[in-house]
Amino acid sequence: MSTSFGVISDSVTQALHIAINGLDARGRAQASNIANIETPNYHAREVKFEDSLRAAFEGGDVSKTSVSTGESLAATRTNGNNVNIDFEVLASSENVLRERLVIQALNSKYTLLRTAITG
Amino acid sequence: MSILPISPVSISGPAQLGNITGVRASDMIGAASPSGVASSGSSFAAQLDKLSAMDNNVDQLAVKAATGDLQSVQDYTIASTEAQLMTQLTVAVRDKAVEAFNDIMRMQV
Amino acid sequence: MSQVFSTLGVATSGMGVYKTWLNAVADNVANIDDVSSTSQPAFQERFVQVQPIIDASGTGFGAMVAGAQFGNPNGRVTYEPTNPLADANGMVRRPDMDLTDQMVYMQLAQRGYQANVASFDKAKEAYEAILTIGK
Repeated sequence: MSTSFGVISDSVTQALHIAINGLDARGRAQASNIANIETPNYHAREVKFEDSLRAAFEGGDVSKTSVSTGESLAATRTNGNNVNIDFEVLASSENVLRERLVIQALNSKYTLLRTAITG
Repeated sequence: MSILPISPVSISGPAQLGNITGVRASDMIGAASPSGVASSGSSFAAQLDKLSAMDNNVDQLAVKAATGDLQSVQDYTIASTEAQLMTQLTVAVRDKAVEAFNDIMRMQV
Repeated sequence: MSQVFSTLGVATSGMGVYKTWLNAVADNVANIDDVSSTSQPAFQERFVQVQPIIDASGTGFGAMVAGAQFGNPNGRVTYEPTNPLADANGMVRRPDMDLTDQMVYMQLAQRGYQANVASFDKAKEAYEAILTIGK
């Protein structure tokens, strides 16, 4: 995590950094699912982090967030695969938009800081 | 269709990083400050130490980016941005400190 | 692909798998009207074996073609006495495949390929957004 000790980096920028990590992991899980739509016995992977981040932020220590990847328990088809291609395609579009939003929020904070510092 | 057991591709660990040598930005700021301003133990010196640590972190991530070992690109871009801001902040603080230092020196004549 | 932009490698491997499958199905369709004599095997349906493969980052799964399987060499023995390849009993072999199945496979393979192309583009977009941090 950041080594700027609360001067440049505060709990909000750290939360945004963690969110980017989570969304990046989720994007990779979604790409994995789309690559394996027809792979026998493959279970869709899903990433959870939002609840953990919210709890950690409210608890005062954002670094306690855990980004976890697990297997979906959705019903499988006859070949043992449970990837829902329509869901994955839509979810991956949404994921890109969320990542851009979080990055925009982070950049706004940096711009604010830069303006304050350089006058 | 049958499925064969998964055999993971072996992933080599990050390249071993030797000591990163060279002049750091934090060293330059310290060197360009009057000794009264950057004296060890001062809060400004502490800020220079923080900046030095950030510079080290950015350099390590940059080497990983160069060798293809960087897992999360955002780690580099965020560390780099924050180091830039910290540098600008440190310089601004140093300039203010130098101004104050000079004012005091003038007074003592 | 390196692990720096590892999601791109995942999508690329997916594209490769569906491309291979598409070629196998195209092969099947091209040979669906093959006739063989009963002393020869019939054209055997091409199947593609797919398995997941850990990606360069170690946290994702691409896909790869592990191998090929081939269908029933006996084919469907049918009575076609006027066929030049017919044996003494008037029997020939035709491939044990249905065109309707192959068309379904072709649609699945095309859909899978396009989904992975889109997946590559989205991953690229996400990485480009990360590269704007601090700019």
